Amino acid sequence: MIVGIDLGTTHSLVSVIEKGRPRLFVGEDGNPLVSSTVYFPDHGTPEVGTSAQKKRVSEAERVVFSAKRFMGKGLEDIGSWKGLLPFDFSPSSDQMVRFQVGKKSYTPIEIGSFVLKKLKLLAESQLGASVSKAVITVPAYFNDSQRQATKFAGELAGLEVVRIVNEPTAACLAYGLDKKTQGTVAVFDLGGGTFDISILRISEGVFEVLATNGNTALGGDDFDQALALALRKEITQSTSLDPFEETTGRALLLAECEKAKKLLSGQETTALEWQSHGKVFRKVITRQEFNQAIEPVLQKAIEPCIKCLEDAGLSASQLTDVILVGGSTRVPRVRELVKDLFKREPICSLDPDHVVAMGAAVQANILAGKTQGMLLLDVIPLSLGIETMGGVVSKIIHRNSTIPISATEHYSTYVDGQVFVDIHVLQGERELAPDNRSLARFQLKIPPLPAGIPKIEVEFVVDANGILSVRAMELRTGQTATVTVNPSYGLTDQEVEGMLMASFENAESDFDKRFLIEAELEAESLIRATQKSLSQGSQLLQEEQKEAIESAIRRLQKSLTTKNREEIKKATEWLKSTTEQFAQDLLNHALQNALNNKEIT
Amino acid sequence: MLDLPESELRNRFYSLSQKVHPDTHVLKDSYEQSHASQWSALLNRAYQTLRTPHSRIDYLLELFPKPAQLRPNIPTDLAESFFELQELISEGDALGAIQQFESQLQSAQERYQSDWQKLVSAWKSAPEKSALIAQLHQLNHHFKYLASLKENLKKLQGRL
Repeated sequence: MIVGIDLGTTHSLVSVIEKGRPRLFVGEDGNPLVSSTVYFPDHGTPEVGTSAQKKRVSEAERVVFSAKRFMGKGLEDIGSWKGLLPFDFSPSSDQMVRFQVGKKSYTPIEIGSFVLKKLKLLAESQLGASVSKAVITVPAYFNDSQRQATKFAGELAGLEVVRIVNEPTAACLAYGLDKKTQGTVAVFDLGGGTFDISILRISEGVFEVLATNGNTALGGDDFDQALALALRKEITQSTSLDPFEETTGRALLLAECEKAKKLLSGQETTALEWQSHGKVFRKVITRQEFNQAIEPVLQKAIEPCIKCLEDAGLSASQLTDVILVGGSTRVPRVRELVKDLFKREPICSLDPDHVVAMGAAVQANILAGKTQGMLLLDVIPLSLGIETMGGVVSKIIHRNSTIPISATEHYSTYVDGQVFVDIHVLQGERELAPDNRSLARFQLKIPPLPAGIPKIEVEFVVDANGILSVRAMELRTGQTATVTVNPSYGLTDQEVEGMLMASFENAESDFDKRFLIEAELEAESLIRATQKSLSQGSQLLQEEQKEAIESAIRRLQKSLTTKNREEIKKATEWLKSTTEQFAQDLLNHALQNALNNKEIT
Repeated sequence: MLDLPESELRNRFYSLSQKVHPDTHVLKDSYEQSHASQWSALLNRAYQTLRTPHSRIDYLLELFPKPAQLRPNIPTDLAESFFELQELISEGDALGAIQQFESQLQSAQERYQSDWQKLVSAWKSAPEKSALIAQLHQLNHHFKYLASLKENLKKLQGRL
């Protein structure tokens, strides 16, 4: 039995296919939405779900939630979050995010594994059978580290993760089960903490993802935060207390804001109450005020949608349907935005909170060999490549490539006698290495040879989970090094929050920098080659020829100090034309030598 | 190869995917599964290569590198007009000139498009494709030049 699991930022669900339909398993309260909140009692095992959620305010310092936001991320990523969330982060030496609970600390992976264990138990008790395999969904825009971290959390919970599936794709599978959904479909998935937009083509049981985009730090949680921040000043004025000062005050305000958000989806106004140290703050909030508070957050969803349509090569009018997924799409202002963006009424005939888990169950059934005629063709969300000389990224697999996929590129060395090459694996869209997410770094030993002689083959293989492995080989000696990219902490803020968007904004200056680096590299290698030739074949040159070449070298060396690409280009061309005859003479001379030495038999 | 019916290509890709994708081989042993992964990766790459006219041209140009003696020329009329336009803008007399240049770009676009159509049909009937490679490189160069002019024009307009 393979179960399908939606491991969400705020809620998680588990489902299987029974008699061709998805069945959702319920928690103790009868609701299939199990809160992804973990409560750590003084003694005994951690509690997950409603009971833990109820302690969010009363025992805020023993509760961790929204851990998915930190899955596969590093300490440097959470800078802006510290002090806004009602729990503490502990310092750690390995750069992993850790939540401090009493004397112990937990990684997001461990928190995820507690939630997964709970879901496993719920399914087992209601099935009356043991469950050891699962399909787990992740936001489509998760990078390699975040996927690896999720897979690892599954293993910690005692589950073999047979597949990592993208959430919007899973939702689409659930809609496709009735075979009524056909054509080109956009899935707008706004969850508790992440946002994805995917465009798929559905035809004859094949679900082909055409393009995907998103923001892994944008969701309904941010609406609560935005409203809380909007109220902060007013609360301080009226109570002379800062609601963000203490963990408990923060937790209460966030819980109240979440409650207000939900109520405002169905009504125009709602009352909000916050109290601390005997002081009480009361306010009636209108939907309009709420909309105003969340507008800046919501605006972040627009750009990814536009880019996604562009990547799919489609205009909004060419879509057949737009599907709403994720609890946050219940917010009326969100629906309005989707309607404006895609110029049509979005559909949500399946519960937006359930549909991802249902789709995960569909994929689980396919992978159990029980569903025939349905096939999912998914993509990688971000390009993969390696760093080459000068910090420039050479992309090996482009974003939105259908997986599984492999690609091979060839490189050589730049310095004579190099005995190893550094392979730096990167994910992202930017031109220069430091602007992308570093996934792994490893070294390949090579025999000492002149620059440009070693042939280094780098192969990237992305499996059906979207997880990368890299192999590098020196073809002349057969020396190999392989690495499956290890789970590590994730992107820094600058790296994740719209890496793609940033890459568009910065494309121009990136290109300029790149061209300059390329021109410099070409110039340097030309100087080296010419100097080498001069030392080997100067007897072939007249004195004035030699002087001309040396002066051209000096001009090129001088141009390199200007950092002006045009200057460098001109000087490079000048040196090339000055040495043209010399290169020809050298070649003839070498051929002549070779012929003379050859014995004719 | 330059002219492929999109829907036919896609249907072929879908039916081959149904055969080789690892998800349709989950009940087989690990040897067959890894085989399926490799075939699937190959199929996906092939589809990516053939999918758009643009990707097909890139692949063809890779297969048939530029002949050494070929120096693709740039459309001098467009280049000159663009320089004139820049001068006019610096003198403050822009609006009419921009419109004129835009229509010039438009007609160049149409001209290349029709050259392209001719090349596509010549390609279909030519027994020896290598004779057409120089044309392919030349036309590709023209399209790229046109795209960069459009980009530059946009930047100029943005600055005004």
